[in-house]
Amino acid sequence: MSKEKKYYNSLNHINDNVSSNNEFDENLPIDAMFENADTLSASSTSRRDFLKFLGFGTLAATLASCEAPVVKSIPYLNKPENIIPGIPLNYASAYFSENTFASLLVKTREGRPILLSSNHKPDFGGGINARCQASVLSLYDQNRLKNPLKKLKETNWSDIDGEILQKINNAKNKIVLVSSTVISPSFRSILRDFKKINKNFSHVVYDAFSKDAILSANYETFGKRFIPTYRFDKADCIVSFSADFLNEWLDPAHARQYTKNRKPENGKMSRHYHFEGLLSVTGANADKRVPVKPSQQSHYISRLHDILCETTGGKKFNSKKTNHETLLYTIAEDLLKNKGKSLIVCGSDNKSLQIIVNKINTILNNYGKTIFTGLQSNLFSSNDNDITDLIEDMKNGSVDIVMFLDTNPAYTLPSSLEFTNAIKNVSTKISFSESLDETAKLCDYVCPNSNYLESWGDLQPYSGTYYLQQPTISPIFNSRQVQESFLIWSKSSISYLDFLKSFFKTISTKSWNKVLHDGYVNLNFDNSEIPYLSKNLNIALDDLFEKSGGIELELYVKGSLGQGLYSNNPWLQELPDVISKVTWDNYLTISPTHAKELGVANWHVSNGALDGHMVNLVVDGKSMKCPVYIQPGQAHGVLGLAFGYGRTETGKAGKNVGINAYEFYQGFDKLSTTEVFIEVVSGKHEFACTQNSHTMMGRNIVKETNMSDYLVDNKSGNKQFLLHSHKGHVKPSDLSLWKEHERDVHFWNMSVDLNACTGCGACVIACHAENNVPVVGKEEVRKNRDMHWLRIDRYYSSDMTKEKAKKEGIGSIEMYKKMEEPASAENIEVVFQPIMCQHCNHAPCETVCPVAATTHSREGLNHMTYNRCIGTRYCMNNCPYKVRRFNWFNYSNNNQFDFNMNDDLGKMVLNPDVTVRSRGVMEKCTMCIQNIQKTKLDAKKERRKIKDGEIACACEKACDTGAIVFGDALDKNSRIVKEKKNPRSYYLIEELNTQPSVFYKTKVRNKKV
Amino acid sequence: MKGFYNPFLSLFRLHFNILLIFQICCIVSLNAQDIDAGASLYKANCTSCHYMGPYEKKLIGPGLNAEILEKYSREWLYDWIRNSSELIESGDKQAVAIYEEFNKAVMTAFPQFSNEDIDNILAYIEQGPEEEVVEIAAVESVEAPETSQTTLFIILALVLGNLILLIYVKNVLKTAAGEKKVGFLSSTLSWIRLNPSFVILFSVVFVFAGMKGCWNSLSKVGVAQNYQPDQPIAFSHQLHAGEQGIDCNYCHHSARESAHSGIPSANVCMNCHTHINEGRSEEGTKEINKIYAALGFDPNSKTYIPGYEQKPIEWVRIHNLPDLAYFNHAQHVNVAGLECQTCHGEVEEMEVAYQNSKLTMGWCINCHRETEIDLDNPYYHDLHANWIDKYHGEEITVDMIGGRECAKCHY
Repeated sequence: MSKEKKYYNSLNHINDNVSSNNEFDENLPIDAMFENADTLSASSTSRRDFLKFLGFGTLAATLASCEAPVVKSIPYLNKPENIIPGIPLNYASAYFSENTFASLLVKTREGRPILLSSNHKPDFGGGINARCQASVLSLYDQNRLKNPLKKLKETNWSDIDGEILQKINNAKNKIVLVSSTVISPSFRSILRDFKKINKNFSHVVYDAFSKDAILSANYETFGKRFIPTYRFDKADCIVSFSADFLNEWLDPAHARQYTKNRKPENGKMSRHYHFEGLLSVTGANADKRVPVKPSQQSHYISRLHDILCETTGGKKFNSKKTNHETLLYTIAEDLLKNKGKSLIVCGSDNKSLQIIVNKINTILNNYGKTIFTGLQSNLFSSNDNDITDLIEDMKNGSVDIVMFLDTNPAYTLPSSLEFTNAIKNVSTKISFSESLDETAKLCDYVCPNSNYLESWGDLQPYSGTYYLQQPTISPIFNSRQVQESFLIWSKSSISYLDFLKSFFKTISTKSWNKVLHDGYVNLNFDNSEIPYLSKNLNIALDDLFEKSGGIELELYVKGSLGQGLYSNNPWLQELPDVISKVTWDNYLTISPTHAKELGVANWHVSNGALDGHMVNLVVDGKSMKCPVYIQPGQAHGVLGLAFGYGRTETGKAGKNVGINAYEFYQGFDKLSTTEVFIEVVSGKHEFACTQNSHTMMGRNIVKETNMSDYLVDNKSGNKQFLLHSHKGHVKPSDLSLWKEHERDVHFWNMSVDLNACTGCGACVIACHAENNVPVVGKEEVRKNRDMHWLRIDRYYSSDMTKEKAKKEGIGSIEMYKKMEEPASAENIEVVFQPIMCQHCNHAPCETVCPVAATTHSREGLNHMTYNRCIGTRYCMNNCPYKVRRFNWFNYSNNNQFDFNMNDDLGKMVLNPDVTVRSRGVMEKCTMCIQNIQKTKLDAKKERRKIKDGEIACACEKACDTGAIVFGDALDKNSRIVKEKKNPRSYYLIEELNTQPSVFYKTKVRNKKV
Repeated sequence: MKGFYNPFLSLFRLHFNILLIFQICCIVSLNAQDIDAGASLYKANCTSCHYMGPYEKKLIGPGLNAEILEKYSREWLYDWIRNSSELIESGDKQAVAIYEEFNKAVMTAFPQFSNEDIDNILAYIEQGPEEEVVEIAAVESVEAPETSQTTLFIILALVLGNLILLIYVKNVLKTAAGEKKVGFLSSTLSWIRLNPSFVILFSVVFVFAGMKGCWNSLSKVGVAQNYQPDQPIAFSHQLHAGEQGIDCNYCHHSARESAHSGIPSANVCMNCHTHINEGRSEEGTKEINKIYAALGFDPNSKTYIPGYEQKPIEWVRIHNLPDLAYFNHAQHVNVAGLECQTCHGEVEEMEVAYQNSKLTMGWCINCHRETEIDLDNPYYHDLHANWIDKYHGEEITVDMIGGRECAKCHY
């Protein structure tokens, strides 16, 4: 009858069902845990839930870590016959970009190009520079377009072709293709065919850095617009007026020629005088460098002309005397002595100046001897008026279709030309850009061109040469090479490859396969010299002498970024500038005296990084805020600003890095001599600089001598360092506590000729590519955590010496303070020294490693074993050369370092033979041990000895001037043994008796005494 | 119909029967000889183009069985096999018919065959293929360590038994002697108190044994010896490398040239499996069909299906060296001339491939310590003389010339 008795433990229980409240009945919210963070945080989490999560998480993590991952291995279904996984294949190809040509050997691994090196080096060009070396990374740029675009939306080729064909057919007005210089004969032929179908088609050549002044000057003096080939190797006396011919002026391959005639072993060396406003790579290498304001250079050139005419007779310009009268007389004397063996070059964009330079070269009888007008260079051909006329046409609405190929005028034309306004009047805009750049963004259609490593092609960079370009990888994205597009739009059914093959038959009778294999073929051509027109030159002297309004601005080109096409290439962004050693930046360079006047400065902050003031630069009323970098050696009153930065439409590495110097590139003249003002503004700028010291502080790091002394004593400047000991004066190597290593199989040595090194930096990029060196970004470089295995140190000379201090009674603190100050602009000399691991045979790093992670091999190499390293960094601290690099972070698969090693595509450039290092380990140059091991294996497989020169380190291969030689010092007939015996050879910081396997050769200048 | 017994007849019948049996025996034994010879000739010369089976079972030529002996005369077959093209040219109707049927493909001539050889082959064909006994490789259970363990247990039990017996005897003796009984625990404790050095020794041994046990088990972490994953295709090395005797380098040819031995690409499989489209069992055929499915090959028409979307075969990698270790097959196979089996074990006996060796650094180094270098290689020629002086004619092993240096494998 009675109800079952019930007890409540609180009033709430009367209403609630007790059992349903049991928290253990609730399921573990596994679904929520696997959802995203928002779902999880939205769910109500009690303390007990938290403990459940914790327990589950710990258990899951433990279980997950117990199981080894299953690795899949996916072989080819149909393996191409010549591909063997693990063995590289090399293809001959060619590069032409930013008006620079190189003949290439492309190393591919399992179908991926991973390293570029020089293939064919003719006497006059074809060398590889840092930018070309790095271009392989741009192939794997995530920023490249994946599909063709219409109105910036992805579409497909058939739609886009249909629409463009219709537009072309309907076009009543002009159809214009704007491109940089085209040196592909087959493409020119396609364009001719296209013009036959479309009579209103025209091709406008627009090079971002115009060489119109030289082309037009040659038209005046030779009756033909062309660029001759220069032979710096045949010139015994070179005078350059701000022509940076070792870096960007016409052809980077000049460096190879230049160093060819600067080998003191030959008993003679060219003498190089250099007049310039900024401090360029070429100026740094000159025997006599004269800092002169750019506006003054016309005076110097005309004065030199007049002085020469004093001897040879001829009409003078009645030029005024300059500040360097005696020097000019000396130069004139030198030039006349070397008639037919001299060379005058000028980097000016002033046509009249170039005409005078031509005249001087004629007076000196250089044409046909050091300058060849028969053998011409095709690398530059643009006429400045063409693009300005086109912009006018576009404004008038007389252009219906405009196409852009290998050019980015929205970025490279100064805004005063109103290109962006003009383009709005064109109904159809087509871009062939590989990525969505500033110009492509304004276009209706973007038909992405394939990368040059994915394309067929032919190149004729110089008369009589013909190079073939072949794809080394199938197109990664849905891109199409521009030649293919034009063939389709010409309604031709033939593919470009077939077209090229049939075109090739008209060029050469040689077999296609043979030429494709070799990469080039020499053709017959008319190499007769073009006669100099001796008619009177109409040069208005007023034109010639540039007016100066005090401060002048000179725009310059960095060896790393060039025109700015490769701004999204992190290797190039992190490549230190040759002179300033600043990375990830451009800046306004200013001379120290000028900076003092203006009250601007650079200073080091507590972690050693460099900061600088900001200024407002105003040129012709256009202003821009720039950081200031104080550049020793620069002429007073000149400012320098590098091109290639300030891109607004590019990938994450290059976007908004630095400032756009093209804004000041008025009238295609790098010089602005009037209306230049600067004012100091508030704020500071943070630089990422890899070298903070200026000079050698009186130490004998880079040994240097003069040619005259060298001829007397070939050990001059390279005095053997001796120690006082109980045995008397002995070489450091004679006193040793160490047990010598066994040396019987090989002894790898490397020689670096400081006389051949121009400091260009191609080796640094090659080292990155070969050895998977990570990019660390600006912030880390600022903390001196750059990872370059190979760096190039730059030292300025100083006016202070120990002798001078003694004579003048200056105390040592004051002396060292003065020593770190670079010499005055007039006296400054610059030296470069590539530094990699010296592979010491008595290595200080090896003795301090607590875990024996760095050990010595019997082949003379200092080994670094990453898997053994525990990251104490003792070795780094004990290394006198400071070449060891520590992985402070994981640089791969890390969103904090969002460069090529953080995306799957960018990782395709990695060398599979070299480990990608992880956080907490030390790394350094291995002398490309993977190549050494590979070559040794090849020799053993083929049952033979290793041939001398068979092993080339990446830096050696990249060095166009042959400054680096690598080889086996136990092979008596090897090049390295000869280098070792060379009286110029010396070990770096020999007094420490580290007995390096790397040695340097004294720098020799050929100064007039 | 009542039969009668005729002793003579029965004797005759017996005799006849014996004779018959004898004759049959003779014939059978004669035939058996023929068939063996025929079988070896057939396998050497015919299998690449003919299946054993009905005429319709075509490979390159028709399938062969007893039917052909009915269809064609023996004389005709002699002529055809020795030189078919001659027969075709002569205009023989049957010959021309076959010639036309097989797209004018001429059968290889075998002029070296005698009539007897051909008879043997035909005898083999007539008999048909033997039922192949699929030998299932006896999986030898690894009993050796277990046996030793059982012995250990027996010994342990014996020792324990003896101990108990001894204690019992001791107790009995004690009772007999009239000594006071002491509890086991207190006697043990008093013994411990009397022998501290033994206890210390014992604990030290115990602790060290424990540490060694930990060390051993930890050193097995990451060692995937005997790793035997399931593969997408049940490829049997035992069949291919073992029974069929295919050289390892035929499929893994890059082992001689490159760092990787490489898993063969499917087109290497197709070198044989274009023709061999049947396995020894139904399962085998299914596995072969997986290659066709990957490549888009139609085994009936023996053509590749145009426009087929090929599906790469995702093998599971068995030997996984960490990224930090560099190993080169060519160095070991080509230069050092090692047999594959040295590291990979008896692969030709593996039905399912597995990792035979430990692949630890100690294992590598040990081999480098023991293996002599090939001084006949001209690479070492001029060094050889120095080494004779230096090492007094000792064997020169890999580690003596730097084969133990870190960056030989780590870079």
